[in-house]
Amino acid sequence: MIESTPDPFVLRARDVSVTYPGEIRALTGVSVDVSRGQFVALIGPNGSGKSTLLRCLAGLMQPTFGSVSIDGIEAQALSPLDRARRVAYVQALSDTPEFMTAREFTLLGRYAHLTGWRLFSKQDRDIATDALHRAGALDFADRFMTELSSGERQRVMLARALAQESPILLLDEPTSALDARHQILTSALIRKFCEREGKTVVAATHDLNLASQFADRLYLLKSGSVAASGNAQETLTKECLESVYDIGVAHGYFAETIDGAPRPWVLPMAPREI
Amino acid sequence: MRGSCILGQNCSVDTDKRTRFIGGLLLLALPVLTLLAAAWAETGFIDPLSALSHEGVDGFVVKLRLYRALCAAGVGGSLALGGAMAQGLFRNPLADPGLLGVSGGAGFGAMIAIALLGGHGILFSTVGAKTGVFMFMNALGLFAIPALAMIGAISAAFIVYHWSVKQGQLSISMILLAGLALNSLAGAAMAALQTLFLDDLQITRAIIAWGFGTLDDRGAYHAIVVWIGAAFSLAVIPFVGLELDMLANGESDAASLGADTRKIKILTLACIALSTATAVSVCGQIAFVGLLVPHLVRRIARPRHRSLMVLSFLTGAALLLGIVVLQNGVMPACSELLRDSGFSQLSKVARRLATLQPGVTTSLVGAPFFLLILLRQKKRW
Repeated sequence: MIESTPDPFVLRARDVSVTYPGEIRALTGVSVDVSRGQFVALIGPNGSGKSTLLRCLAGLMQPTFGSVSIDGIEAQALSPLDRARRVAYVQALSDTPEFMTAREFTLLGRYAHLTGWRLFSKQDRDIATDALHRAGALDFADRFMTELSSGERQRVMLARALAQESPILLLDEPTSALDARHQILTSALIRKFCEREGKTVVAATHDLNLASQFADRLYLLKSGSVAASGNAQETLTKECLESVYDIGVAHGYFAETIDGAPRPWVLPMAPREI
Repeated sequence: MRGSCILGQNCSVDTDKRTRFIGGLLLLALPVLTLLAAAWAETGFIDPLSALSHEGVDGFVVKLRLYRALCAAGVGGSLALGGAMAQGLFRNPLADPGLLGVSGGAGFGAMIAIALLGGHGILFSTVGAKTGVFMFMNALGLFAIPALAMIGAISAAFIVYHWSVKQGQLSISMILLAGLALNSLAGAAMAALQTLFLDDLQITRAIIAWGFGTLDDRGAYHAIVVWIGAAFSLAVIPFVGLELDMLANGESDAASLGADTRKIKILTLACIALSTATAVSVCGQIAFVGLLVPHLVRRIARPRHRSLMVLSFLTGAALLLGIVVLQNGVMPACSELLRDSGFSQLSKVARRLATLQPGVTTSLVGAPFFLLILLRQKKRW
């Protein structure tokens, strides 16, 4: 792909540290570089800082130290609307609003594109319908969000991010509530966005095997700093995972991968001491 | 939360149609109710149009009734709109300017103004003094009561909001507790003020009359104050309607979609404070309208916040107007009918009921409804 901007990295975090009130350090000096069209996975144990890093990258949180740039522009300098046109952020599963259908929820993704009286146009509705279709959520588009299963809700949340039509997608555990089929389908779909539409995706996930199969680059976080980064083969080594997660790991390679590159599978095991 | 709409789970299809239908119906009902309130009251039925076109006592009476009707509509609408906004902002169907302590704050502010002005503010703004010192006091009163009510309401709103926000998250129990604390504080402060001025009959009268939530003796000034507040709040609806829908899923989620959450929160809070303050400064505390009406609207039309707020305003206006017509028109007529048919005791009861202040009526009806809502929520647990 031909780069039009001098900066090949659409999303950069430089030495980002975040300290929550009460001296709780969530991130310490984390640097992340994401280039256009890349699918990056953030992995790591609970509380390792994946969600905090995502929120910083989305510009929704000001790092205590360090800086985040989106398209080469300081994230905090962007207006909320401008930011929303560049970055879509899907938070981990949360409460959903009452009295709102999946279609209405998806339409809200068009907010950053509204003009004038800020009413949704026919075009907005078509884009939302298309997004629902692509995320596999069209079948239950007219049901209330509160009536959907958590997996269905997760697909609607992805649809809303697609309706936002931003070149960058930040996803916090997008497959956590999905069944095996939809985990694979959604991951493949996200990969397709990167390859065909040049979207840039950063996803936090606990599923090491999905990350290994589909991501271009992985960041393994431990206690707020990067323990390992690189492609799947470099990051998901037996030694590294055993030390970061403090468990035993069975390790092997997938026979077939999407791009022919060697990609490991991992199987968590009980540590020997137990 | 299955079946949260009374028409079943798949009622979203025709919602827009139904919302428009109900809105249209209310728009038609409001002028009819206003005319009815102007024409029909305890002193008999007067043709408002011919009375207004001729000089005379009838014209004066109709004018007074018209002001009362306009005040009722404005107050009902403002309170319901404030309730709808509060429920959206606090993401809780139980939020209401009354429960949040906002009307308590407004009430305290207004009472300070009344006490400082020695009751003149209320007294003379209705009589319309046109000379010297009275005119000055009058003008000051016109300005001071809504202004101090506004200050009280804004302070209460911001205290409750900041109290209950921690790291961008709203704690619902903190909101209700903070509202409770502010309400008792305002209540105690008002009681203290009343005690201080107990010897001054004029102030005491003004305070008591206003404290009931009264619509009697309202003048053009009152109608203008409440409708200015209502107009501002209505004008803000297009700028916060969609955003309140987005806030329903959490603040950071709304921000990620491009909403300027800080601006929305401040704008909405200011509107809640403004509409509550103008309503309270015009007719004292009228409880439960802000809580009841948005609930009612949501049950029937399941609208998005934009239409929820507009429908709530119209419904609130119609509700208080309806109460005015009921109490000043229907009840006296019933009382006379009962007297003519020989039920003199019942007739007296009806006449007494007709003199209940609307603030008392809404509380008598609203409190049981509130309990009903709680009961329904309990069943869902």
